[in-house]
Amino acid sequence: MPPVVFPRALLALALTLASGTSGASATPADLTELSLSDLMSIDITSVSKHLEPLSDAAAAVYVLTNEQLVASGASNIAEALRGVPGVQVARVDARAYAVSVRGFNSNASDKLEVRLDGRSVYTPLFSGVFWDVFETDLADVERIEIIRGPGATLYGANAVNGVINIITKSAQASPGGRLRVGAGNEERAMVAVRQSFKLGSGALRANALGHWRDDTAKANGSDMQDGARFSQAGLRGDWQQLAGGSLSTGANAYDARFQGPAGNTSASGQSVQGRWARPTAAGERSLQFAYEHYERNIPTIYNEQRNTANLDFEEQRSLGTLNQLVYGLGLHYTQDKTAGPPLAVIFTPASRTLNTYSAFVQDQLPLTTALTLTLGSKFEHNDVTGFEAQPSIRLGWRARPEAFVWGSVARAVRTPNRLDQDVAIFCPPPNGFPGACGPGSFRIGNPQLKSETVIAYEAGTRLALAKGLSADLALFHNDYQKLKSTEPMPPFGAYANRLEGVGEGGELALSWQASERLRFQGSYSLLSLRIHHNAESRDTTTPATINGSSPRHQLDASLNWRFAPNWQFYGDARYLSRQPAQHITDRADLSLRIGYTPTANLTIALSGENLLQDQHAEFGANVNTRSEVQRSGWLTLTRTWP
Amino acid sequence: MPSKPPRQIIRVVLALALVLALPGAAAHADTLEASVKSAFLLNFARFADFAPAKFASPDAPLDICVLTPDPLEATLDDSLHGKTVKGHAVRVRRSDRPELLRDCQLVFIASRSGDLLDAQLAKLSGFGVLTVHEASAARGAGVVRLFVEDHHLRFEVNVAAAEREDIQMAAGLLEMAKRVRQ
Repeated sequence: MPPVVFPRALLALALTLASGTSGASATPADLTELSLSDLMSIDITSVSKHLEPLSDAAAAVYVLTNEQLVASGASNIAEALRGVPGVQVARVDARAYAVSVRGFNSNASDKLEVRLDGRSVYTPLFSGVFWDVFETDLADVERIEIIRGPGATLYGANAVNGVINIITKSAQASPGGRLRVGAGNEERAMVAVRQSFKLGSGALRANALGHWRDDTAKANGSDMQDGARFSQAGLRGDWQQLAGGSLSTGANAYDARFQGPAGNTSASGQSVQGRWARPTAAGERSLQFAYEHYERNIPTIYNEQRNTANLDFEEQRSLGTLNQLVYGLGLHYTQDKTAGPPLAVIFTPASRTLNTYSAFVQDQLPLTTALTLTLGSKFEHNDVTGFEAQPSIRLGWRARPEAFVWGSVARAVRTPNRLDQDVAIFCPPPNGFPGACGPGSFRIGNPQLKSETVIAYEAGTRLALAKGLSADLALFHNDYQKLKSTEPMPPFGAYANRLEGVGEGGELALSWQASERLRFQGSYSLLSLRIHHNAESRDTTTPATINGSSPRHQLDASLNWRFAPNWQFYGDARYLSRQPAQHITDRADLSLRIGYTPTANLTIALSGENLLQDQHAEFGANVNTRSEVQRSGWLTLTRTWP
Repeated sequence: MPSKPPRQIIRVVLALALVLALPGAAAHADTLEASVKSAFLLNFARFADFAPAKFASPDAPLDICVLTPDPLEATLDDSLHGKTVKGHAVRVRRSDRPELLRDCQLVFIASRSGDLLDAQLAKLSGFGVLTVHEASAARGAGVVRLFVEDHHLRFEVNVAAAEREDIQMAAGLLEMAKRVRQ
């Protein structure tokens, strides 16, 4: 039925169009005085250009959506992070990854906070993530938020250069079952299964996955003999209405075997977590608990068992009518047991318990309708360095409807971890390791170590340029103080806080939804690290390693295209400039995936990774003994049922 | 001692800010759809009788809120500036946390992702809030759904949800609406 257009509505429409279609200064006609029937008669789409909403977060944030994760077919979390602006991902060998944000990449990266459904997954051993055992079925991940820059005010120590938040779907949001099986030349075999159930007023989801990954190769083409087998099972339960609040719970267990030169490395772990949130008149109160136990054994080298528990209380409330206040209290407990000699990497004392108490407060205050100030600080007390304050101030300005500008200054610290303080190398009698050390044990750790600090100055803007086209630019200048050095001291060295310097750069990300079926994304990341030792230090090696291990330039372009009904194409091309400290030249790389969905409950996909070279190194300074990643292709079948 | 923030960063941001604030700078935002939606939101508030407990006093403001990200942006503020509903001054508030919008009389949610929307609606339900969303189908916990049909904005009222939230919808509004009960 054609709508009846009322004269008043026509007039209003004419006024609106005449007053200009853009700008805060434009004054649209007052449509609020029109009747509902008049309003319903206005043709809104003929002149409408829908702009994607811009995030109002006064920080550099990038989000990987479930759609992107599924379309890319990434084989694990670390692979999914490739191509994210400002993030460095390098595969170290068949199982391990080096992942960092805004530099300092290493296979023991220590300036990044990583969370899975709110549970911190980095190990207090070295303040980093064991990426080889950190997996979850990406098809059940709702989104991954990557925050570049310090997030310490909310997330605490170690959120120095960034925060990665992995948020899985609730059990209700992932109903039914799914089975995925795959096989390929490098990804030898993979299987992932899910089944969800209704349970009382909520739902429960069970996931299990396993994979077997082939050896990587040495530069001369011979097998590295580092193949990896991994299996994991998990549960997630969600209840929206329980004792006046909502409850979200999770449990997880993994087991892994990695081939190695001295025998198989084994790793296993179990965790449970729960979050209960209850609405209040002005906001919400929540209590979160998490516990993890893990064990890791590398024959002849190292053995560790660790228990970690967290308890966090948080309250969000509107204060008056405008202020939005968030505050919280947290307890963090970690206890470990390591095996001493004759293993090579030992810790003194062999067992240790460390506690951290923390409190944070953050207030978001609109100064005008367009300008919002966010102020806050975390206060932590830890057993090693005592009190640490990590404040931040952020200003967000919606300059125009299609433009958001932000700036921030924040301080963050990385507190000394177990490795920093207590690690030693045991060189067994009678001869030690000939040519290297011994016999005897040699402490590298330094119990007097202080926290590394950063003060980060950041600014950025998000622009909606045209229909479907948006840009995000962030610039940063990080001042690092008291970074960990390794002072030369035969036979190995000793840690001290004698490095400092600057990290600078920026990231530009573009996203273009050309049509409902076609999306382009591109990004350029610039990183300049100028870390040097101070006057007291004689450590020239570590600064060169830090400065030369992350690419200065990273370019990424991806295309997600549903080119025919039931067919989907995904391509991702990357360029990384050289990493001199790793003896890696500049290189390009390409990943492709084609998916075919013949029926609603079946998808067949062919994926290819590292397609441009037969094999290439991504990390590891010794060009003869390091792992090189080979060209990889695999096929997956995914079957779903209600 | 930390050094000062580099001048280049400040310069680039200031330059960007100036360009953006200049009137007449190229922009593509179209405010008509946002204007019409803003007018709809005000009309919904006008045609609804909220539970008395939703107002602290007879002259307390009526809060029309947006769960961000907000596609209506400044248009909503401009459209509702100075408006009143039954003696209550209309005020616009925004937050990205539904928990902080429970004291609002009306909350507009732009997200179209079903899972996210359901979670957001669940956090607002039981607080007497007239929720307005734009999903492609009715949601159990949403009171009003705005949708585009043949280039025109239409709306449907979930009568059961309105009853649960203790909101009386005026007959004049219901006549124009598609009615559902869920």
